[in-house]
Amino acid sequence: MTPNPRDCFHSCSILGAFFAANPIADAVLVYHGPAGCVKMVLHAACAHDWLGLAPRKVTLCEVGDREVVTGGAEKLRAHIALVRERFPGKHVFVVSSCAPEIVGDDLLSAVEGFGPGAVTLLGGAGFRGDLWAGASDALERIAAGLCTEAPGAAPEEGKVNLVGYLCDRLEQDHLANVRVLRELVAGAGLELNALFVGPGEVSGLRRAWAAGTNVAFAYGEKAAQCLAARYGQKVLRVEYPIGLRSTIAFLRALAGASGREHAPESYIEAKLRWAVPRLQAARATCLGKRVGVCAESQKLPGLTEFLRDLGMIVSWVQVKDQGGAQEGRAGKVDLIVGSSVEKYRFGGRVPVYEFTYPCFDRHCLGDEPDLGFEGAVRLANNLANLLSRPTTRILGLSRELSRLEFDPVFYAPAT
Amino acid sequence: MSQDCPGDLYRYRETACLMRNVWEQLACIRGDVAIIVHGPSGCGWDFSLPDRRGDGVCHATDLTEMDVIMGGEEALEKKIESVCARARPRALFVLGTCVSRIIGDDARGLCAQAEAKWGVPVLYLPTSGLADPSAPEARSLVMDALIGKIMKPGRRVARSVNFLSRDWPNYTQVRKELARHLSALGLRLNALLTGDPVLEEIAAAPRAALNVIVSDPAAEAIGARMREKFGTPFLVVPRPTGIAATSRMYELVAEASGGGAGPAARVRGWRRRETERLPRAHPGLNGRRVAVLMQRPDPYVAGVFSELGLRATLRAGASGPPAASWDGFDLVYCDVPGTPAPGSHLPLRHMRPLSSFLLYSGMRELARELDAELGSRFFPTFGRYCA
Repeated sequence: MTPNPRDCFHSCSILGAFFAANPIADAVLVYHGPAGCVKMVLHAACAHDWLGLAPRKVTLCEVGDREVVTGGAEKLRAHIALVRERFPGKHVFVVSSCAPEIVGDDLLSAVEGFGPGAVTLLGGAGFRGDLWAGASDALERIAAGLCTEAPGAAPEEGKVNLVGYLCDRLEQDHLANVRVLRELVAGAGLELNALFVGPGEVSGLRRAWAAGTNVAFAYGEKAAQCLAARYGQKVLRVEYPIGLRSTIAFLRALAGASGREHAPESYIEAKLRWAVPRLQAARATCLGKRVGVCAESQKLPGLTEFLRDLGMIVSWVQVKDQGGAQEGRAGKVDLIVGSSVEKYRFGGRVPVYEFTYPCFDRHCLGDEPDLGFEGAVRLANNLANLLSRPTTRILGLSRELSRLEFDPVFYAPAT
Repeated sequence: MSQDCPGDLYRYRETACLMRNVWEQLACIRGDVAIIVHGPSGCGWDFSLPDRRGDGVCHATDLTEMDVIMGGEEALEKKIESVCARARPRALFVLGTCVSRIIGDDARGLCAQAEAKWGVPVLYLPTSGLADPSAPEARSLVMDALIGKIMKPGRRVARSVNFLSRDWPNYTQVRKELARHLSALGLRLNALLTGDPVLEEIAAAPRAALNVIVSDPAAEAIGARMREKFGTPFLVVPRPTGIAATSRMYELVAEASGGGAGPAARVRGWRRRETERLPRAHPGLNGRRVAVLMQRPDPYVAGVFSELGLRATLRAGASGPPAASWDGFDLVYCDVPGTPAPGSHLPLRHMRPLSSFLLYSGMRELARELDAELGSRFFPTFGRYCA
């Protein structure tokens, strides 16, 4: 059966390019495409990011009928020049789209005309790939475009670049994730040199040469290879640190690659002592519940493993960025961990926890990470809340009392 | 703002992809309709339009790089077959995109073939996002298609009316209130061609005796088209926001339907009742000063606020005057999102546009919202932290 493309939720690479470049504070994004494509990007930004897009972060070099007939490269060149004049000191990222690439605009020469490393072309044609492919390509081009300077010194073994973090919004959950990643790297006895891409500035990314190892999540593999080829660094491929096991594996992999195998053990020990008791109460609620998972491949391994750790039965899995061949069936599960898409499809029948992209309805105004040990506790907390809500409402508190073994203790009166 | 930085965010409020606007118009139709977006997968999913209605309505051909080179007609043909075979829609709309237009697919021809094969209307709409601003407005394009293919002429139903407007909210109470009041005037609501119209109602629209057009040039053009094709006369009425405007609308409709003195007296009664009821229900609004910040000041808005007992002052422009001149106001009402707060001590409401508070029930809702905001102690206590 051909899956419904809306279920697969491939979306457009133009968004991937946006998510890759948006966190960079001192950058302007020039969209070279039809106005509607940019509108879609802005819709994603406003529906998905309560802290808001920085004003004037995105500009449009519109491609309309005239540019399709006569070409739009000249217009783009003039637009970039204008943006550079109006926003001195900002780096310019150019995001393309289907129309200029089909008509064959020479975007590369328009961009290269401003000198090496001044303007970066990120791609973005929707027929070339989906959101995740777009993010991966854009990260590679960001790495190739920004990291052009010669190393100032030899790379340091104690420093790492993290590559491939998909910061699809700038709300406090992602900002907390960046904090957690920094802490985890420190927990492994290392220092985070550059994060591709989290909130930061171009100058920080340009110093990627200083790290000895590029630690790559799935979408960052191409960018990590690109940096490694340029600066002679090592590449370490890791999974997202979601849940306990994935986080421990992440820490040990990081430490192992830098020859500090024993460095994270005391940190892991302390964190487990903090996290595991907190997971106990949630485990009691989650135990034996069937769960459906719909996630991008980058998050899936850690997430499913953690759900099993909580005692849940993973009934079905849908991989969002690899075709989504397996259809989710809401009726067979007690809970779905997915995105807004699953919430709109199944939310009326089954509790759905918005965890994967996109999360339109779950926003974070406080420091609430998804990653690391803190993220595991928070995830367990939220899942248990979702699962216990109908129980409490429908069956009352007596079942909750039995579950928690709050049996009344009778004291016989003294005779 | 646009002179300051060409192509900046403010410009985008006025522009959007025609395909997405048309999709928005079509996806709200209730009934067995299906929509196919003929383009890359990114166009098939729009962040502004999550499909909350479940499966089977919106589809896409997911054109790949190979389709761009070799042509996307085969993909479209397959998608039409699969949608018609599985979902059995009563109407199928195929929307073009920039990509299908540039590569020159004959989508219109394929739709004609599919229509002959499946016996249901299969409509191709040329909705490329490359279109310049002079391209037809999305609503007109959709309504033209509906008039041409979906609406079926039939025996006229006496004293029945259709309502046509631009983007009414999908509130159930709008439909209910309209039907109830029209019924009290001896009229019948035949079709509500705005908000979330029903496919069956659209098909039966030509049977109405009168089309009521709520003041909007695009809707007027649609009314003219329906008069031309089905001979249905139309009447333009004011936007029913506010007690006076709503009453006037009912009066005009009753008059045009030949209702006589009875319905007019009934409308006067409604107006009197609502005018007395609102200030009594919300005494906290009486005499409070509201600054209304609008991009295009409309004096009619001040009238709507005064019906609630408020003293409204209109201010023009997106940013408004300097902060000092906001002294003395209890509330700034603003329907332009993203407007910077004029003074941290003032509640600034980025509220829904007044046009979304329709009929008498809309006014009750507006009064409730404003009363809650003015009664709240949030801004006097914490406002300084908002600056």
